[in-house]
Amino acid sequence: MIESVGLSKFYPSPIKGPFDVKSLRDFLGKPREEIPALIDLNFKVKESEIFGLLGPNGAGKTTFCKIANALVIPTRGNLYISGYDSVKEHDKIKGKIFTIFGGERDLFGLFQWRVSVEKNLRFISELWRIPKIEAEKRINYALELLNLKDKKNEWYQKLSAGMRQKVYLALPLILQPEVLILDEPTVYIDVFTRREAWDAILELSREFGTTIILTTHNLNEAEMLCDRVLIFNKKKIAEGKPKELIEKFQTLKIERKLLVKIKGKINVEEFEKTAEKVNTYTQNGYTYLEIYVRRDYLKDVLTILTNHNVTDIQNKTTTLEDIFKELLGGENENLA
Amino acid sequence: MRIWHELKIIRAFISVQKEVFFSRRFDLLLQFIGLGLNIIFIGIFAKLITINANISQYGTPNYLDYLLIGSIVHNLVFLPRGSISSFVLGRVFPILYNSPASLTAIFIGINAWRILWNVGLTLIITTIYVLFFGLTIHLNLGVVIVILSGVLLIFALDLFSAGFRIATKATQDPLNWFFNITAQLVSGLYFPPEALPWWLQPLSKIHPETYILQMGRLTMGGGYSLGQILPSLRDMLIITGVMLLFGYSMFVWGFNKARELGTLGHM
Repeated sequence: MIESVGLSKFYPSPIKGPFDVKSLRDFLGKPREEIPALIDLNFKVKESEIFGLLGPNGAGKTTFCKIANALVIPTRGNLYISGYDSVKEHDKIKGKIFTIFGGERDLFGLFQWRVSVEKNLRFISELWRIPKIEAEKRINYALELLNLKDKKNEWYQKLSAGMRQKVYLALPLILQPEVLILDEPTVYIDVFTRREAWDAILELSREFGTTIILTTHNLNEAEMLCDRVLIFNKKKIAEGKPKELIEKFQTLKIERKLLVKIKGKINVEEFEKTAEKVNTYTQNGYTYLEIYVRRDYLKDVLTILTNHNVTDIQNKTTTLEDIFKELLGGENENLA
Repeated sequence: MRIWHELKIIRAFISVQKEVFFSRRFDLLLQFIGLGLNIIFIGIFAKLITINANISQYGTPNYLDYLLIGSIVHNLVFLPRGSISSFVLGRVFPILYNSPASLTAIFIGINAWRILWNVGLTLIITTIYVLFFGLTIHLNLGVVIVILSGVLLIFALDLFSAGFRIATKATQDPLNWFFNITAQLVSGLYFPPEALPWWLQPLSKIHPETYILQMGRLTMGGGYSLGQILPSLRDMLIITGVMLLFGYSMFVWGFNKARELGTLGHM
């Protein structure tokens, strides 16, 4: 359904001043390839799959979204959507792909502030050529699913920021595209609304078979929604199902992560031979420890802890966020 | 079938923009007050002015007709100015670029209400001038062709300017700005070009707006038929065709350059 083949994008460096000859050359001729945004990105996404693209700021997520929308021409490689090159054959995928760009709460100004929610949605349905009666049904269904039914006749400008984001998220339910790209879709909304948004995303995949690419900083969101994820920072670092990645990561590195609260101080060198890594900080006379330990050494670590005044201990399971932090911290680069 | 869909899209844009427009009732009231003051001021101003020039050679009987017909033609012809760059550089472009509607339909749709409203206003102004200021107006095929070819020429220049602005991501629009300022100064919009100093006369002669206004006044004010202005109109149509080619090439170049540099639909 979606295939990224050696997708790479390099930008020239920014203009350094009014007499920057290099910039003039970039403007008139072929731009220099100086700043990498994406390097040789390869992956495949199957139909109806929810695929997470996870990376830190500047990893190339928005560049990827722009290539998918034909707003950026890749330097090398191709991105195929439903078998068509997203840039060269853009005309053939128009209308089949829909993108929710992060940080945009009013669909790039397409939502009219002094028009009701329903009329706004009906107008956008008309642009996507959805027949009137069908559009009416889908609008009611989407508003119901997102708990927006009572806001139907209100002016868009009277809604709160979170409500507007929900109206934005109602659109894929109404337009039902083959491919949906969500670039940080829940960035502005609270935890309760986020749940409703997640339900809507899952509904799209299950009910309508929409293939979804989700880029997010919220690793909990990725773990919850994605069938598979790709961790990257300009180039691919790891790819797989969230659970598989966690298991793979555990066998490679972490067996246990213990969160310990001790009254008084402790010398972390005591764990030198037993723990993989120890993070520590003190507050109000207590020392808080984050101990990464292999299963074989668990008993030894607990023995050390018995010599101290432990007031609390928790065994934290490894999450996708741990993997993300570890991988992008420069370690385990061979995991992919 | 496709055309039907495109027309429905344009209608959808008009409908939603009309609703937004009329939701601002106080703005609308202020607009009409401003318009009324403008009409009275220009009408009185034009009646008071005496100008030492042969006005009748432009097809208009007096300076009032000369000024009013010039401003009507200018307002109509300049309607597409800035519409392309504001569309492509605008926030709404990235999302509409992937809608199934054609870019042409979207472009027309986005500008349709503004153009319809301004054409309507021009008609109201013209009617007031005819009824209360004694303006003489002729309407024939010549008028329509002159206005349409003028609109096309301005559209071509706007395409060229948009290509430059998209590629450079410039917030300023120097080409349109220069063309508009020079049009007001040298093309004979407010006074006949012969009143210009000798060193500005050549600029007046190469400025397309000079010929648009000349032909507009001859047809609309003097009642000249299409056949009578055909030689001049033919030259202008050739220039328009050439400019459309240049403008389109510049636009395509600018669009692709912005996609290469990653500056299109910046987020």
